[in-house]
Amino acid sequence: MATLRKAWAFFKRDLLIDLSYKLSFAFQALDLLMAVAAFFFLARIIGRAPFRSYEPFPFILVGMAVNGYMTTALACFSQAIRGSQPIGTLKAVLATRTSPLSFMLLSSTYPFARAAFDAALYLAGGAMFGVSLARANVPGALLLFLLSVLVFGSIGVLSATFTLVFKRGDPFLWLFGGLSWLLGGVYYPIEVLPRFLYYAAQLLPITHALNGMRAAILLGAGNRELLPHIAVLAGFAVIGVPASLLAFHFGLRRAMKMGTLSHY
Amino acid sequence: MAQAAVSVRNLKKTFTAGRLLRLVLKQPPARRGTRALEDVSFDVHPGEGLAIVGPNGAGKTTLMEILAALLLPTVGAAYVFGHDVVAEAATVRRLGLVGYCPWATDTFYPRLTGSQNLYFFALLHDLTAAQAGRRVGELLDILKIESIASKPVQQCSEGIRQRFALARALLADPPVLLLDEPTKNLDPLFQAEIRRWLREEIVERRGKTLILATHNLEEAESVCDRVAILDRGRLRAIGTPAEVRREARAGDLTGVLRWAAAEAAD
Repeated sequence: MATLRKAWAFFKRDLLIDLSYKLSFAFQALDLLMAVAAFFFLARIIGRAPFRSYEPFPFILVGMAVNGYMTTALACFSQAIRGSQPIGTLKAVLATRTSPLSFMLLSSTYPFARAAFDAALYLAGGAMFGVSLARANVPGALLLFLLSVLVFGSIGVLSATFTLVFKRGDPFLWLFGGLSWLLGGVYYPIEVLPRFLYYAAQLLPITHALNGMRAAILLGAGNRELLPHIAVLAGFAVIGVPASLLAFHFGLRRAMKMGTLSHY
Repeated sequence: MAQAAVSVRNLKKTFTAGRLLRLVLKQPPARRGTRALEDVSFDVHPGEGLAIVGPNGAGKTTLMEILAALLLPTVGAAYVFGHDVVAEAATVRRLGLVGYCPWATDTFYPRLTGSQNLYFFALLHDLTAAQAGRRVGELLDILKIESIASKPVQQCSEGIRQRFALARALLADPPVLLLDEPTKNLDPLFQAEIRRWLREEIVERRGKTLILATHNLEEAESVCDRVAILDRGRLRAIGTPAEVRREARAGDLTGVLRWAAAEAAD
């Protein structure tokens, strides 16, 4: 119950801050819908030639929605730390009955909710342009989604640890954010990549998240067909979650030892 | 003898640059660390007020942050009601044993109002929504910031933010209060009022343990039972103001600080 109250407190804090920039809040949603429209018209240039078994526009639409959510999972923990250092609230929060790990994890409630809202907007925008989600395997997509959030969240926690210890120059965000965008198949199928990059793409969790989500949402693929993607993401999660929590524990200790908790 | 509310044992804190950074900067051994605290030991009993008095750079804030479980000591230990603030930091936090008011006043979300900020921190202290609302209301009233609490914090003066910081430290009604220069930005009239309130209400009536870091000698004497003189990380004297004056053979606490500085220089 106390954790739920705290989660609500963090959510409300970020919502109030976001709403205090009223125009920005509205324009971000509008921007997103315009991006959907732009990609719809861009997809018409490509025509109706299928990307694997997908039409180009739904392929890109799901790519954008999933990539947006995964980018949030990747960046939100680090932003929770980074955002609270210059305004001096990090120590103030850690002086309450809230553990550092809870602070970081609960700070993600609003960003995740916002990303879900954005993903829903992408899909609603897609529906406006004729994308049908009637065949979607919803349980399969949800499972893939949860596993993907765990994997990207664990990379996000590593990124937050890096921010806590080294302040800037986060390689995790660069590596997984940048490379995922380039190699993960957000806007184009990875089959168009040169062979060595195609194999490199197989090592990225987003490749499996996107392939699985597209299959589940657009083709209505059954759980058996989704299993390879589920297995790979579960593997990443099993290693990533404990490793990232351990890294955060040691990173926090180091910052508290060096007295650099609120440095930025 | 009753358990000390706060117990500090041979506390040392040296700030060092990371090994890699030292290697890159080729720092000689002598410059490899800044000693903030050197073998500091003292006890504070429940319901007692102790003022940590010292010039800038004496190590007051370092000591407060170690007691608030926000900074790890290099050597030594500190306990709050018997709980080690390093090994049992989670317990100290969970039990809400310590309320900390940092010296910096820019420790709020600037776009939220004062009451929104306090309400947020109250929920992080495990208060229910109803308790949080009541407690925030009480503290806004006590600290006379009700009328300004609906303004975004970024529109408030330093003095008002200082009052919000003081209110935040009191939200969970902790048994130990660590106040780091809590009145430095307040006007003289309100300073006097807050000091009286801290002494009469917080220490004497509610029996809270208070550790107050300050440069202000008048504040130290008026709020606390004992003073500890800290200079360049060393505890030079501790006792009632009269005892400390006697030890330093000084007529007032300013004289004591001069004596402590001379001792430190020797």
